Amino acid sequence: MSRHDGKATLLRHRPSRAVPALILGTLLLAAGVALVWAAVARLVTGSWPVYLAGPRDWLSGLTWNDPGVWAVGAAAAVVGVVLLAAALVPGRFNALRLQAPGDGRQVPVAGAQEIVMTRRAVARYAAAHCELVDGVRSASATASARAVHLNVTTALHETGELRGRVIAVVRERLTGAGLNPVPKVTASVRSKE
Amino acid sequence: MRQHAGALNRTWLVILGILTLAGGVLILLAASGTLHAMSPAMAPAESPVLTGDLHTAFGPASVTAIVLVAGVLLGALGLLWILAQIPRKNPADRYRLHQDPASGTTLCEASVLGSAVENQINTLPGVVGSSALLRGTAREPDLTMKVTVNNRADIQDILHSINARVIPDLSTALETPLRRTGIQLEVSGRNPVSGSTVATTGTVIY
Repeated sequence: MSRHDGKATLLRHRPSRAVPALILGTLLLAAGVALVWAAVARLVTGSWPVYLAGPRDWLSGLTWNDPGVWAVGAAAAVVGVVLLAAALVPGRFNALRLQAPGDGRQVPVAGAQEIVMTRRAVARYAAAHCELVDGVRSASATASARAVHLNVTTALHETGELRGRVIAVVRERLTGAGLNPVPKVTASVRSKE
Repeated sequence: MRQHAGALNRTWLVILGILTLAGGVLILLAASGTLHAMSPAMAPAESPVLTGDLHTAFGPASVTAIVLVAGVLLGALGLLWILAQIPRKNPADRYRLHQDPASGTTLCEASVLGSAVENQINTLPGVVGSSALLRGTAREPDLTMKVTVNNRADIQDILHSINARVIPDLSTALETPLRRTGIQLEVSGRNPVSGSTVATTGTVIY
């Protein structure tokens, strides 16, 4: 069975928390394998495996106010908070919304429409248009859901005017592409001989 | 385009997070003696954690069976959770286009329609490549497209062409409006399939 039963999901989404899920999944799998191994060893040899003797002896002589119990409790509480944070901290969107071309009317033969541009695509688009500005030697860009930052190198000594020009051009191009809302554009211009 | 297990991950992370946090807080309360002060029935901080003998508790054969089943369950859950992380396309099955099966059946592979959409998008000026995926049913189709455009392409022009030509054509072919459409734009420095710009260079001689 498919995860979403063949239905479309939103293209613009927050992170799927795959890394913590993979770590926990691997730990669950390892715990399961260890338990099955121990049970099978007990069935075959008639006694529990030797590696369980250590934890068993440790647990047998343990009192509640033992430093080990404090450590286990504190570690569990911290891990719990980390897991909750991993689940509840929203994270950044993977893409930016674009408005449909024209006067915003929907396509007559289609229902809801979602048009997005990934953050990487916005960064590439901004960098490419930045490189077309006279005076720019090279440019790279990074994009978040709300802002685009350009790193520009130039042969010019005075960088202030170029920074303003680059920001204006890129903002105009991003507006022309239909990004809605238009991300804030910032630039760092480095003079390079 | 591909779908991820975001909701599943968040749900299980919250459940495991609450369980682990609650367990940790309970252990800390028991270790500090607060639990015993709140309820005298609870074990005091100086008492041992385990009241019985572990050796005898794990003696019966039924305990071995319980450990075995618990291990299989935990391992299976872990494995399923790991496998759920693989991004999936979840495309539509074959669309059933017929009205009355008694007079004949008409089936159409959704991937064939997707290829037709891709071919049409690839002819648009400024488009480097595309992939289209149909989900839903023949009556309520969902179209998701990933369109890679050249970094100097007119994006609004491409979107207008898709909305004015590609989507209406698919809608006409299926004889139904699309329930939902999604377009994911990517940008590439590669030359577009058609309508490519030609870079020219020259030297100015004074």
